[in-house]
Amino acid sequence: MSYGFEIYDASGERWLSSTDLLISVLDVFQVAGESVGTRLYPGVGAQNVMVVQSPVKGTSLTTDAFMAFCRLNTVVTTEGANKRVTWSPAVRLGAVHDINLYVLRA
Amino acid sequence: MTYGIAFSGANGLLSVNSDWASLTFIGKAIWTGVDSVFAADLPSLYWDRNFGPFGASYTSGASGGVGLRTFIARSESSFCGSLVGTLTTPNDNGVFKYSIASPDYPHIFVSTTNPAVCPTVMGIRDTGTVNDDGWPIWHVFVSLSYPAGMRAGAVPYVDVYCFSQMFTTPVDEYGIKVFDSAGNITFNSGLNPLRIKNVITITGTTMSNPADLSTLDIEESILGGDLPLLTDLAKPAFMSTDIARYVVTKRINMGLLTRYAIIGNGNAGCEPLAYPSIDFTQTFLMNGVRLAADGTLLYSIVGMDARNCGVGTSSSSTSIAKIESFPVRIPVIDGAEYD
Repeated sequence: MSYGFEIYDASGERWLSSTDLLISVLDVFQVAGESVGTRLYPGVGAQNVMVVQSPVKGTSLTTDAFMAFCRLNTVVTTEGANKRVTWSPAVRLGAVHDINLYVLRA
Repeated sequence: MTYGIAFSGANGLLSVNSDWASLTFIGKAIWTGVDSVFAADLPSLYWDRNFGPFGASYTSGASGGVGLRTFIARSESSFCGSLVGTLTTPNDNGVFKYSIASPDYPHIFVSTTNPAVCPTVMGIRDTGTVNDDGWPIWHVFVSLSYPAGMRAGAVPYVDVYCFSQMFTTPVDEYGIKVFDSAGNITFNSGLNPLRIKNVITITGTTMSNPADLSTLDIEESILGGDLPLLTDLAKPAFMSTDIARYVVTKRINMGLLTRYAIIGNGNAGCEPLAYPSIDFTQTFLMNGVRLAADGTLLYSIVGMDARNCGVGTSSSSTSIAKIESFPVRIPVIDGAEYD
């Protein structure tokens, strides 16, 4: 490259350059599968923020509860210099389970 | 920010910064070899509609046979035998338990090198135990679909990459470290950071033919600019998330036989009485993401569970209902950079 930055490890392998995109974690928290809520993240209004969902299931793999499917509708909006994440029930098949929400900044 | 350090990449998106911790490669989760479930070991399930002389009853349970997950609807009468309709899963599959020690909640990316093997993470759980370094041990439950009978042979085709926030790091004598205002590490050049190559956004799915339950069309887009195309990556790995269910309802039209008797002459036999239908639904799990050679995204559908059984009156048919909520954004890495 003719501009930008590159970072190398002790073996001379390039681990990071200005053409890479790092993901930072703004927040990770657990909510009920059919809950409603919102959180404000100050100072990231100009950043690319996304929400990834991960189900929280039990340990028995053959139960209906493990095979259940539950997703939230997550919306990211910009409020001036801040980002707001809002979640609400979207779809469900089977038993309700908790969901971990990852709020990531790219 | 009014202080600190921030690097931006050529695409204008933020790279290294002193405010938020970047994710670091922890390692690949390992299949434990135990506590996994294979569909081929599970019994088939049946639903009976029994039309006896004193009215109809409804029972369900496990049948004696095992194999690919089979769901059987039976219509019986007490005297005149039974008729059977069967729905079998399109792929063999199982839920595999993987293990990883991670200082914080692991963020999982999965890849497959075999187009016939498809992974999806069904759940992540803190076991409550720690390793010798004091890191919590997590179980990652991965649903795999594979050619019939492959079972554990599917594991070598799949990589489960795990990333985590790293709150403390070993002391180095060289390199770059970045700290936030509380003194927490946000970047360390001595650790292998999570480098996102692109982000796909899935806006919808299409599967219009109930008879073809093996794949589906995905409507998706990727970020543009200077980011690489997915086909430019040596080994694309997708952040795994369970995004949808397809529920197939198969309706079996069954003619029931019932005994009749003609009083006085001793004649008796069986004749068609009516054609009530038995519905049973099977939940199909959308399983994983893989990149086809032509650059299209593929998901496979694997039958995992039966859900309902009822009685209808119309003729035989098969219908599909989609349980989904889009858009879904899925970050992508090049797994080859972490092998």
